[in-house]
Amino acid sequence: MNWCGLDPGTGPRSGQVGSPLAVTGGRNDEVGCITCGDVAERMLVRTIDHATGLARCDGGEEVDVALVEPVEEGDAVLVHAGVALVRVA
Amino acid sequence: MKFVDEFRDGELGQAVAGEILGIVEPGRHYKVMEVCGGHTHSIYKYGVDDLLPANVELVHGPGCPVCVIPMGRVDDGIALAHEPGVIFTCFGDMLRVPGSNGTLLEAKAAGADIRMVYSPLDALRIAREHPDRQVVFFAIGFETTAPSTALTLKRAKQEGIENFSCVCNHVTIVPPLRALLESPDLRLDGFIGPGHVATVVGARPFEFIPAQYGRPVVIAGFEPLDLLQAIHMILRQLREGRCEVENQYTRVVPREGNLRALEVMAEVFALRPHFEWRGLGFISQSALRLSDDYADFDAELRFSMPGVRVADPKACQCGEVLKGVIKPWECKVFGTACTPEHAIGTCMVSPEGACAAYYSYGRFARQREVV
Repeated sequence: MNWCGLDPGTGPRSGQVGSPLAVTGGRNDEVGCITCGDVAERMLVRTIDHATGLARCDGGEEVDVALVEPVEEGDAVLVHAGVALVRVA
Repeated sequence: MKFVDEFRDGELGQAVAGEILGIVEPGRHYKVMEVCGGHTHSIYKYGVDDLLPANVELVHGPGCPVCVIPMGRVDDGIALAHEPGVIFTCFGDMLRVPGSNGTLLEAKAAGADIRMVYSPLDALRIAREHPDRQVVFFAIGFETTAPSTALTLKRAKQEGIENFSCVCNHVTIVPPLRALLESPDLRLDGFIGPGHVATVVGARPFEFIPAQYGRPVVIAGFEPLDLLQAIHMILRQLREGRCEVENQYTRVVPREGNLRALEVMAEVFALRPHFEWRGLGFISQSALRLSDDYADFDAELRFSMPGVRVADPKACQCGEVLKGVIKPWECKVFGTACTPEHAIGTCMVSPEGACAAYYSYGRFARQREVV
C-alpha cells in the first residue's frame, strides 16, 4: 500500500531525492516509515571514502559510517536515515 | 535473504507459539506492551497476535515519532515552510500528519517549497546546492534517528554551511515509558523493548523498569520470530519470578549501545525541560533541542515561529490508543472518518501507527479463537 500518497517506485530509494515523487525509503519489498527503526536496513559496504566518512553501499546508497568505524569494504552495516548504526554479521 | 527468511519460518513460529501456550498460567491475563511502532507494524503484518493465547494481550505503545508529534509543531512547520526563500525538508511520513489547518503536503500544493528527504544528509546537500536559499530540516524521531541529525549538523558546522538549520523535534523513549508506568489507567506485565533504539542507547536505560516498577523488558528484533521469542522470554520471566532486561536481538543490539553515537548526540543536543506529546501531554525532559554550541543551526532561533499549542481534534482518540487504553478499532472514527487516505489522527498516518497497521492488516481478522 502506498501510504504517503506518492509513487513508491521499485526500490528502497526510488525517485530523485528532494523531488515530489521521491519516496521515504523502506525495506526491499515495501514502503515504510523511516522515523523509527523498522526500516533500518542491512547493507553491504561497497566503497569507502575514509576522508569524508562516507561509504557507498548497496544500490549506490551514500551512507555515513562515522559511527561504526573502522569499517571495510564488504562489511555489513545496519543503516537508518543515511547513517550506519552498527556493524552486523 | 540472510536474517530475514530464517526469522519468518512458519513451522518455527508455530513451535514457539506452542511453547508460549504451555508457559502461560490459565486464568491469568497478561498485558505486554510493544513500545516501538515498528513492532506494532510487524505484529499486524505477520499476524503475530493471532498466534498467541487469548489471555496474552499485546498493547501498543507510544514509539511512533510521527504519531506523538503535536499539532502545534506541525503548524509551526507549515508556517516556516511558507517563509519566503525557505526550502523546507522533512521525511515523507511527516507530510501527511494533520495540523490544525492542513498538512505539509497541502502546504506544498499551495506553493510552499517542501521537499521530502530520506536522510538529513540529503537536506544538507540541498543546502549546498542552493546557497541563496534557507534550507530547513524538520527533524523527528527517537534515538534511532537522532544520530543522523547530529552527524549532519556536525558536518554543516565543519563545512561552514550557513544556510542550513534544523527544527529539532527529536524525542527520547524513556520518559514516556516512565509516564505510562505511573499512569493509573494501565496495568502492564512486561515490555517488548525497541530494538533499534537500543542499538544506539543500549540496554541500560531500560533497567529502571524492572528495578523500580518490577516489570520485565525484552529488547526484540522486528521479524515475527523475534517477536514471538521476545513474548516467550517475557512470559518465562514472569513464570519463573524473574524480572530483568533481556536482549533477544543480540545479532544487532550491543548491550552498551553505540557509544560514539551517544557522544555525538551529547555534543549536538541538549534536553528540553519539557515537550508536548500528542495524546500524552507535556512530559519533562522527554525531547531534545540543539545545544548552545549548535544554536546557530537552530531554526527555532533563526526564524519566528508561532509556537501555538493546539488541542487535538475531539473526535480523535489517538491519546488513548498511544497509552494502550483502547484498541484502534475502539476509536469512534477508526476506519470511517479516519483512514490512511484521510487521516484525522496521527496514529493513522504512519504505517507504524497502531491504527494504520491495524487498518492495513488486522481489521478483517479481529475475532480469534479463545483458548
